Formats: sequence, structure tokens, C-alpha cells
Amino acid sequence: MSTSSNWTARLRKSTLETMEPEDLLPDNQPAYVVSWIYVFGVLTIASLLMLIATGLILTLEGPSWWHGSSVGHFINSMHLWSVELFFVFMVVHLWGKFWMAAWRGKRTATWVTGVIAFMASILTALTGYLIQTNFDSQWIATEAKDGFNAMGIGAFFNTLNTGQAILLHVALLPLAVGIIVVWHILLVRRKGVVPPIDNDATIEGGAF
Amino acid sequence: MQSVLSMALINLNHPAHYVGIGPFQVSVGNFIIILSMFVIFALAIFIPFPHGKDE
Amino acid sequence: MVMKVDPSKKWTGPVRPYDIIKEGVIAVVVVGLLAGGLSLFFSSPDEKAVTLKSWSNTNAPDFVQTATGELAGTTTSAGYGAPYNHAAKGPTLGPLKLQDWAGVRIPVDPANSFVVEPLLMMNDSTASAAAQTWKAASADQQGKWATSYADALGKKPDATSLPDSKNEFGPVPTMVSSLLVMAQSGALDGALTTSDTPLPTDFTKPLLFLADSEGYFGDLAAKQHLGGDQWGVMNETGSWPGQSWLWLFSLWYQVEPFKSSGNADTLVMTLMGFLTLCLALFPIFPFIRKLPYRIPIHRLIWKKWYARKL
Repeated sequence: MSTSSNWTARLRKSTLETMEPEDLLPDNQPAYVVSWIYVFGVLTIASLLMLIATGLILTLEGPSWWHGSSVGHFINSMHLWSVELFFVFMVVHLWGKFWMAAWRGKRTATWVTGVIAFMASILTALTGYLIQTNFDSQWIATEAKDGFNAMGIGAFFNTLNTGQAILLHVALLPLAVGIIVVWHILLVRRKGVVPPIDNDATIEGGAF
Repeated sequence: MQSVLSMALINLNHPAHYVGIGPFQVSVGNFIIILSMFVIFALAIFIPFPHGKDE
Repeated sequence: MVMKVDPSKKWTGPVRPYDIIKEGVIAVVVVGLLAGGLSLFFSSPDEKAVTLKSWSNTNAPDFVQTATGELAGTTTSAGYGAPYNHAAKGPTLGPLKLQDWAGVRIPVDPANSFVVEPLLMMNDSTASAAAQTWKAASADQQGKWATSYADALGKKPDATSLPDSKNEFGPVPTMVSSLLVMAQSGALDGALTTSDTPLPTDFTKPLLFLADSEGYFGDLAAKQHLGGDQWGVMNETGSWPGQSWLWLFSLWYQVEPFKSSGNADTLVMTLMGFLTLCLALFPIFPFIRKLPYRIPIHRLIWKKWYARKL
């Protein structure tokens, strides 16, 4: 049996063998990687880790714990401010990558997974707002239902169903964001950091 | 609830202020967040990044 | 010598030392300190949830009017359509009736679900007798009773009950007054949340009923600038920042043609879906993908690199 028809061999070739260990965990970077703009990807990931950590604590205690506990309220605050930081860093990261035209050199998939991660994060944040079990979550639920209903989505994702929103926010959506972010990072590591824009026409031609 | 919120050194539990022109209104809280993105982006572009020698 | 760089090839030029794990650890510590500091300084909002009990005790006339509206079929939820009922076709996008096509998957008949059924559960013979009279009447008769009472209440906005001097309201005043008593005691909250299962996690019914209230629920939100026409989508209670990343989504609701359109939700959701697709496709857009070349912000980012080449 040739390796080209062997599923396992094909999976290994298209995944593990596309990357050297040094690509995955590098101890050096191309000499052009010298700018503060490069730290916003890792800051976004750090914020996501902070969200997962504080989210796990909130999960262990249940959705209404934070209303009556000072510790709970502080953890809720950490969770909220991590979200604000997460989006600030992600947007700065996006702007940086746009102005560097970071999709050059067959990096379109990296850009697209980044956009999907952004959108999945927005949906995850919305479900987080829905499960605060306070006036804000009640109001957002009654408003957001109209948007989802108008697209026929509301029949399946009912923002007024707090139990459903909790499960989406705690299980399904973080998993989705996690998978897409890991995929995004692996694409970055595999392709390496995009080199500077050169005005040479042949270089531009090599972009796609 | 008040005792829990009093943990905050700066109390934001009061009606928000808004800035904007005509139909474009944004709360001061959101405005600061959005403004901070532009400021951070500008700083990231302009402040030199410390680095060692190339190999 | 000008160094030629092909972005699709693996980098073979000069490198600088880098420690990805150290960078990650530093980032986590920095974000932890930032989030901790912001939490210490600003905490987070927690505006107490409202209930049918708090509504009926705070603004009883509004509750009575809304409950009568549910019987008359004039409230938002009574005329909503899918996914709750068949009262309307809902918003459309040209020939696409997305809301209607999704079907009635969360059945809620406001007159029955919010008023009649709870009254029958109430251990009160007057209330259940009135509800039975209502149930036995024709739809036409029910409409006449409820509409006349709604009109009469509309003329006396502070009233919670009115005498039936012309004998035209049928059982409606008794039903609505009994429902007010039930709501003020807190029993209606329990009745609506437990109508489908005794241990509920779904608040569709009480929230739909609350959302029909303009004088309480909507008013509380409007005071906090949470209304859709107040950029409320991105606002938060108190003075905290909210979901500022929804700024563009929120913007469309403030401007024409969306602002006055009955289809605003469908139009805005579709537009945002389209714009998201555009964002994802930036790398292949003819004009946009050239912007980073024409506006040379990259000259600042790679200042050192360009300097060393010369």
C-alpha cells in the first residue's frame, strides 16, 4: 500500500511533518521581528488564559455565587476586565496585522482563522453577558432575542433560556474559541512571522 | 450589594456620562476603552522595542 | 545590497534571540496584574434582577395595562410570530422569511400562558371562575371584552381596576386584578417559570411578559441608556464599559434606513454577516489588500529593518 492512500500517513504528512520542533517552540526570531506590535498576539492569548482561569473558578461555585460573595464578586470583576483587555489586545493585534499585510506569503488561512476567532469570541462574550443572572442579563436577553429570531436562529438558540446560555458559554463556545485559537497559533508557527513589505514587484507577486 | 461594591476604590455604580454628536453617542466608559486601543496602537508603533544583537 | 524577501519562503536570513515560553509567562503575569488592578479599582456592575413581583409592586397600573394587553393581543409578544406563536410572519429579507421558516419551536400563547393558566393554578374561586368564563367565550367575545377594558384603562393611566358600569368588560377586570394580587405576592414568577418543568432553567415566559412592559422594564433600561436606539447594545449598567466591540452593530440601529425599518433586525444582522465575510476576505480584495502598501505604517513597524538594508 502506498503512503499516499494511507490515511494515517497522509494525516502525519499534512500535520506533524509540516513543522519542525524549532518552528513550534522557537528560541529565535527573524531579525525584523523588532516592535512592540508583536506582543499583542501573546497578550490576547494571555487574556484568554486569564478568562479560562477566572471562568473555571466561577464555574466551580455556580452562576449566582458572585452576587453574595465578596470573593465571588472580585473573581467576576477579574473575568469582566480580562474580557475588556482580551478585546483591546485582539483589536490592536488585528490592526497591526492589517498594516503589515500579514496575509502575504500564503498566510490567508491565518488571517481567516483570526477573523473567525474574533467572531466566535464576540458570541462567547454575549453568552457571558446573558448568564450574569442580573438586570443586565435580563435586558440583553430580551433585546438579543429579536436579532437572532429575525435570522431564524432564535428558534434554536433562545437567549431567554438561561440554562442553554450557561451551557453554551461554559462548555461549547470556549471549546470552539480554544480550537480556533490553537489552529491560528499553529498556522503562525508553521509559516513563521511575515517578513517586511518590500516594494520589489516580484516580492508582491509572491504573495499569493 | 453596596458592601460588595464598596470594595472598588473608584465607584462606577452611578449613571453614566455620554459624549458624542447628534445620533453618535458613546458612554465615557466605552469611549475610554476605544480610545485606549488607538493610544496603545500608536505607542506600540512609535516606542522603540529593546533588543539584543542579531545572530 | 537590497535583500530580496519572499514571504512564502521559510526565513533563512539573520535572526535574533527569542524565548517564546518566557514571553508567554511574562504576558500572563502582566495581564493578571492589569486585570487584578482594574478589578480592585473599578469592580464590576451587578444591577439586581427584576421580577414580575417587583414590577407589579413598583408600577401596578403598568402591570394591569400590560396584562390586559396580553388578553387583547396587543402586546409585543402577543403579536410576535415565530418562534413563539403564529400571530405574525415576522421580519423578512426580500423573499426570505427566515424567522417564519424556523417555525414555532418555543410555543408561547401570551393570553393563555401569562394570564389564564396561572389564574387556574391560583387557589382562588373568583379568579378561576373568571378564567373559566373567559375560556368558554368565543374569540370574538374575548377580543371585545379585553379591548374595551384596555381602552378604558388607557383613559385612566393610574388605575389598577375600573368598574364595569356599561357591562362590557366581562371577566377581564376580575382576571387582571387577581393576576395583580398573584404577581404582587411573587406567586406569578413561580407559576410562569415552573409551567413547563418544576425545576426550571428557562425564563422565556416571565422575560417575555416583562419585556412587554413599557412603563417598568423598558423604562429601567432606557434610564441606563440600554435601549436599542440609545446605542444600548454596547452599553452597560452604571458607568462601566460594555460590549464596545459591538459598536458597528449598534451604529446601524441609530441611522436610516435601519432606524425606522420594521425589518431592522434582519437587515442589520445580514449586513453584519456580509461585513464579517468582507473582513475575512481582506487578503483577496483588490483595493483593500493594497492599502497597507499605500499607507506605509509598516515603515514605522519595521523601521530598524529598513534602516539596516540601506
